[in-house]
Amino acid sequence: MKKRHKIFLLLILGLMWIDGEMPAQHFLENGRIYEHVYPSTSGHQFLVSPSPLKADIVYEGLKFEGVLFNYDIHNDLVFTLNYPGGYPRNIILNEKRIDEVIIRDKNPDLEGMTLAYLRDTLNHSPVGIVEVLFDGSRYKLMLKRKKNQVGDNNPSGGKLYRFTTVSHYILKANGKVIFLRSKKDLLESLNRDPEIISYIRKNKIHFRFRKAQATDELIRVLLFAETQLSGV
Amino acid sequence: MEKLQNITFWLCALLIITGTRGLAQSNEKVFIHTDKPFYITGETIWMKAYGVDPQSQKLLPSTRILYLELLDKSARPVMQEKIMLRDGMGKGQWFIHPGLGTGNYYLKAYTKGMKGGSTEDFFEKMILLVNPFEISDRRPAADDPIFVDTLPRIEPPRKGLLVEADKHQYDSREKVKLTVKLDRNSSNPIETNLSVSVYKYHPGLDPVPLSIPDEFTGQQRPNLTLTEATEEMAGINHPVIKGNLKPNDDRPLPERFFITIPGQSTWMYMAQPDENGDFSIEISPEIKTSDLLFWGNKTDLSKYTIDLESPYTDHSLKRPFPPFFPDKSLKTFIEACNLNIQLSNAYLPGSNIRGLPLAERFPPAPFFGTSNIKYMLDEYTRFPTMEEVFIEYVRYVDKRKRDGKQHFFMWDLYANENSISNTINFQEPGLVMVDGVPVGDLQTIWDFDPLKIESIQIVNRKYYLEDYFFYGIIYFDTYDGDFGGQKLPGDVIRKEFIPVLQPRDFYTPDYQSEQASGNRLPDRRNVLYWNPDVMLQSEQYTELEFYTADDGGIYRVEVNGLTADGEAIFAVTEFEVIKSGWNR
Repeated sequence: MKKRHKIFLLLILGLMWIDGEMPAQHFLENGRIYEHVYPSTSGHQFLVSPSPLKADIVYEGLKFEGVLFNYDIHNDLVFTLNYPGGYPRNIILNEKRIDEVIIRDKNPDLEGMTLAYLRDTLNHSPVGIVEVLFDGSRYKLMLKRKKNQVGDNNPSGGKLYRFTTVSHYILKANGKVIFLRSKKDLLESLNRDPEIISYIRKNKIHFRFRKAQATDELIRVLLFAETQLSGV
Repeated sequence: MEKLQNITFWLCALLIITGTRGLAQSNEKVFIHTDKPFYITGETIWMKAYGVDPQSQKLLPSTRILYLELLDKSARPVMQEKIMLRDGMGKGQWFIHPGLGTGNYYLKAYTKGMKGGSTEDFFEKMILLVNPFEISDRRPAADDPIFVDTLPRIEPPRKGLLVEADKHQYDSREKVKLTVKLDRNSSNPIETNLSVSVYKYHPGLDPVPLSIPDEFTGQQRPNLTLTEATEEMAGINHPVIKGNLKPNDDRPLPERFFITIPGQSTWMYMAQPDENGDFSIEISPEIKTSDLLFWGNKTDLSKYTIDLESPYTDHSLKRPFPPFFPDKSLKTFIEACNLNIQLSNAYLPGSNIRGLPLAERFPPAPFFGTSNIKYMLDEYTRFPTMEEVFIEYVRYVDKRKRDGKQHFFMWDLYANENSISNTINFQEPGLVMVDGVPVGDLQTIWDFDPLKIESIQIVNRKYYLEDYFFYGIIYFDTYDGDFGGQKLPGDVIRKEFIPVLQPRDFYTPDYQSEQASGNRLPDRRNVLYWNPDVMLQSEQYTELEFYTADDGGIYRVEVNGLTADGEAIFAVTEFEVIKSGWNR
């Protein structure tokens, strides 16, 4: 095929893409520059790796698809990778205007992972970016990740720094935001409903809150709680 | 041969493009269900909008801006709004200014995509507005176009839906149970979106059919040509600020300028005018405030004239407006409705009349998000001047003189993170703002009364707006968000625009408890119930509950909807409320 024909076909494909309803790119190019580097800390501050991920982002009420982004857990920042004028630039999004970030990745553990901004409206304090694990009509279960810089003593003197991840489950119920640290917190937030307690006992559900490995069990209980309340 | 191949290639390509654009550029039809066909001035029009692709007869799959206008008999818009259609549906409410005169008005609705076609395809609905202080005593003449009290009462056929109240008569403040059911048998569950309204009714006040018109799901418009289809898509899905910047003298056009939208949350955008001074910038549909502030970083925009382009269309009305001549019974009915409005305004909070605001989707925040440091001035000793505030405790920013003027130079967070010294500043001054208003002269800050300032936020990073950036930001919030009550700086131009209307919740009281039902505050609602979000599956029914008010009379229940497979459905029923006890 001649070169001009190839160019024209690419143009047709481009026009077909433009026919989609993507908002203007400037929404993702307006923001603070992201420049955090930690050369003397082993590990990284990101959700998965320093390489960007792809996601569909609903931001300022507008949907953007296939956006290159990353999530800095240490600083609790979501930023997008843009190429204005051909040069890469990381722009921090205004986290308070993020509706949701849905990751699109071949890795099944990441595909569909949803991030959102959570605000504790009762205590008027921000919780920050969380992963949404379960979004029911009455209950919303989320995971808050945090990476801390920890210093270990260096045998040659000084400190060796590394990133460690700490995660907490958060339940939003009846307008309240509750950090779940134990089974007791969970039952309190579900008003110690006897049916739910009985369900947990009958099914011998154990929660491993400490290592944030209680996701499946928590979702199971919340699904039951939702069906109980809807009377179905 | 090669020439023939080339021609064939280009012809095929042209056909593909036209076909592709034709498929992608879908036709659109819009319908608005309003809670009533008539209003007394001072009431609120509650509405639900449906946007449909007439080819597939299904709800439009994505977002659209819907432009609404209320036109008087001179085709002059007396009210203009915008609402957002999401997945083909939108809702909103319009408060009718008490100053509007009596008469029939046309409610017009259209999307930007529909503007490309004929204005005949715009949605159009006649609405009667009655200003109780302006009702004519003239009797209808034979040559008047149409007169209301001689129109036959149009009873549209029920279509696809059953709606039934549990009784025919109710007392004041009694619970009404409405059952709504799809009137179709289907092995596949079909989801249906409905809007339900219940309002005080008079047979002389429905001069137009109530059902969704057949043309709503009707004919396909011709596909657009390539030329028409290459019109930019901006403004179809998202609000756009479009206009022209013209210098007042010979000076050149600036390369760029900025637009700030102040409010509880501030928004900031950058616009780059072309060689004619035309500019266009998409903005967020979440913006609720209507003030626009235009300013240039190193350009005095007061030396320019800014004209904003209206997104609304000019109209001409081909159908005559029927004049309104109420007979005695209708006048009595209007007086009763007007009394209800006066009592509601006197005894109920405004939110019960104009609607309850929905929970904020986003917390109030400035455009840059979270700052690096935030000083809440109430947490520190209050000093009499802003200079002392900066001397005593505000860090991460330095005040320096350059070219005879004082500027704020922000500390560079990135440079400080990667160096032993932690007082490295940006080489250029940062952006200074108070309540979203840019401040070029620091004397304005020093002149501020510190008691009016609630917080100072500092951003120690470069802030980008596409290819431009600021060397950090220092942002002052006042308690009242009004720039401390001062005049705007001379180089900032203020304009107004119509933001996307944010929907509100309809107020409906709950008289379940004896205490609530015995409350002696009058409840004189003309509209008992409005619900634009009723979802129904076929083979299922839904029960809706609400309470009657204190005013007696006939109340009409009207249900409009659209099934997932594009069928428009409609049903209506009536019941009576008998005034009881002390309400008589």
